[in-house]
Amino acid sequence: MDFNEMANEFMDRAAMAAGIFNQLNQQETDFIVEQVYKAGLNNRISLAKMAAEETKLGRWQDKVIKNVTGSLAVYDDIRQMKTVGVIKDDVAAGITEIAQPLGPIFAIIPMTNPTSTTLFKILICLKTRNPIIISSHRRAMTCVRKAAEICYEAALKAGAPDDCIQVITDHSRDLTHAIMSHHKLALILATGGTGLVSAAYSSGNPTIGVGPGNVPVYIDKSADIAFAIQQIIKSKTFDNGTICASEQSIIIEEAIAEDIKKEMIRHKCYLLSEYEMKKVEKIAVVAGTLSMNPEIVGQPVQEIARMAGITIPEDTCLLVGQPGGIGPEHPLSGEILAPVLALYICKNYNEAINMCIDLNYLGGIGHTAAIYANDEKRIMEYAEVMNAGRVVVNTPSSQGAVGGIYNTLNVSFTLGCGSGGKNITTENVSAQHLINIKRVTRRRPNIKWQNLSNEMLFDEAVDADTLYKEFHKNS
Amino acid sequence: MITFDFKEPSGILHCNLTGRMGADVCLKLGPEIQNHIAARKSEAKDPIKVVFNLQEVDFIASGFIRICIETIKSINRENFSIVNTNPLIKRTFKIAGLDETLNVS
Repeated sequence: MDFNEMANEFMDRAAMAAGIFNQLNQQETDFIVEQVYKAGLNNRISLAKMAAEETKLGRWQDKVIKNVTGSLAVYDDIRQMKTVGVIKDDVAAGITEIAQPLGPIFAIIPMTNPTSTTLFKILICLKTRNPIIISSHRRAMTCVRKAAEICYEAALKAGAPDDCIQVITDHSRDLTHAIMSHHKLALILATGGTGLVSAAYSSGNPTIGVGPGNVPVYIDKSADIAFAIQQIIKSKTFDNGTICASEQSIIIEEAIAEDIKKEMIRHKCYLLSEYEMKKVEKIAVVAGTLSMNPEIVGQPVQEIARMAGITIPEDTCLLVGQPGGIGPEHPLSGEILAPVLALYICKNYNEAINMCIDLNYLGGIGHTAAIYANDEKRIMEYAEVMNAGRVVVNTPSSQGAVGGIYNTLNVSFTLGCGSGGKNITTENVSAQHLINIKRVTRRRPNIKWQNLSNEMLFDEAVDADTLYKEFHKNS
Repeated sequence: MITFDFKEPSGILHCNLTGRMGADVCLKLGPEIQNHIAARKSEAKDPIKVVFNLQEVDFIASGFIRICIETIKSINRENFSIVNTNPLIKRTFKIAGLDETLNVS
């Protein structure tokens, strides 16, 4: 069977599921979602262990937290959302909004958060009555398939249609492209590397993608420094730094540099000498580029030190280097999804914020920026100049950007990065993005039109100001 | 629920279905329909035609689509049709991309 035939089979089954799904009401849909989230949550530990073992990334204990986020927190976030039938009825405006499913959705799963992203995408698709076809990174195939099987079994028992969840087991590029460009596909939910996201955008089908991150964290003089460092470490070491919203650089003013360093050392950060930093830089990225070396993604700090050929204390939690600048010649200024951080010490506030802007625009446009401050003016100034979908305040950015833990953002493993990241939205993508909204509009004539006579409209001597005035005349 | 009505001269087997064609119902219904078709086929000289009348049906599960597909496999596709669907069921076949294959009206 060739790739097109295989794609047709997947899509035919998904289309049938879409047809059946369309008949379900909100209550039936919600019951399915409830049963599926429970199944995912009940398997959070085994799936986390499978994911850590198969991908060799991160820590299984943190992946348990991710799985809880992808099941319980996502469910809690979407459970009261209306996604079937009439979702809004504005009698005065005469507009009734009706939710319709999109149709089959192709979900791409990254290896950094495989099972949690699978649970998340399945839940938001089921909540919106959209069949889902899953394709995972080849290094996470087994755990993703297992997560999908668990969900599918629960969904079927709860009354979901056959084939509402399918998993692609053949990971050839040709099959992926055949599905992505298939005429029966409604949407691609592309969470993954830049290449795959670009391919999805080029498919001709609507795509909700993500962009890469390069999260700057500005610690203002007004911040509680001890708290800030503790939170940043908590975030950057979580699952060995595999979350794309994790902090990449800390930017501070000279005036607080010593306090910051003291706190870092107190919390077992290892401040690299320039010589050691050069060694880490060599293994952190592909030579001459800012592309991170996939071999160090999600690795424990000791393993990174071993790879770099440096010796660090056993209880070290994070490596911190001080690059001399920003750009390809300073590899630590780019995104590194591992427990390695850059520290920039600037002369003053303006220089620090300008540094944040440069880092933000160095491969992380539209993603996430973080600030620690207790000065609302500074917070808003920072938010104004950052090009980010999320600016998290006094919050660990890994967990903060995902939402639902430290704030009320939608819980999501697909973080929109807006036009800067070549995405359609800056929002945390969730169920609300997976419905078509049909608007039934009753006749409610706009009486302003009655103020405009044909004589005025067709008289070239009547200018825009006159027409505007007449249009708004209250008589 | 289902009742069968075989019109001898035309060789048309009418399957009149009522109620919700849920997964459980379809599990029992599938073999029942197949048995009936097999019996009629063995009796008839010419190929028989099968018509599913869905006038009284308000929901179909995946299992029902399977029954339809099994049925067109056992007779020629042009000898099968689904009639009297309500708009919601019609839309279901439309979205599934099967309205033409299964001759739904």
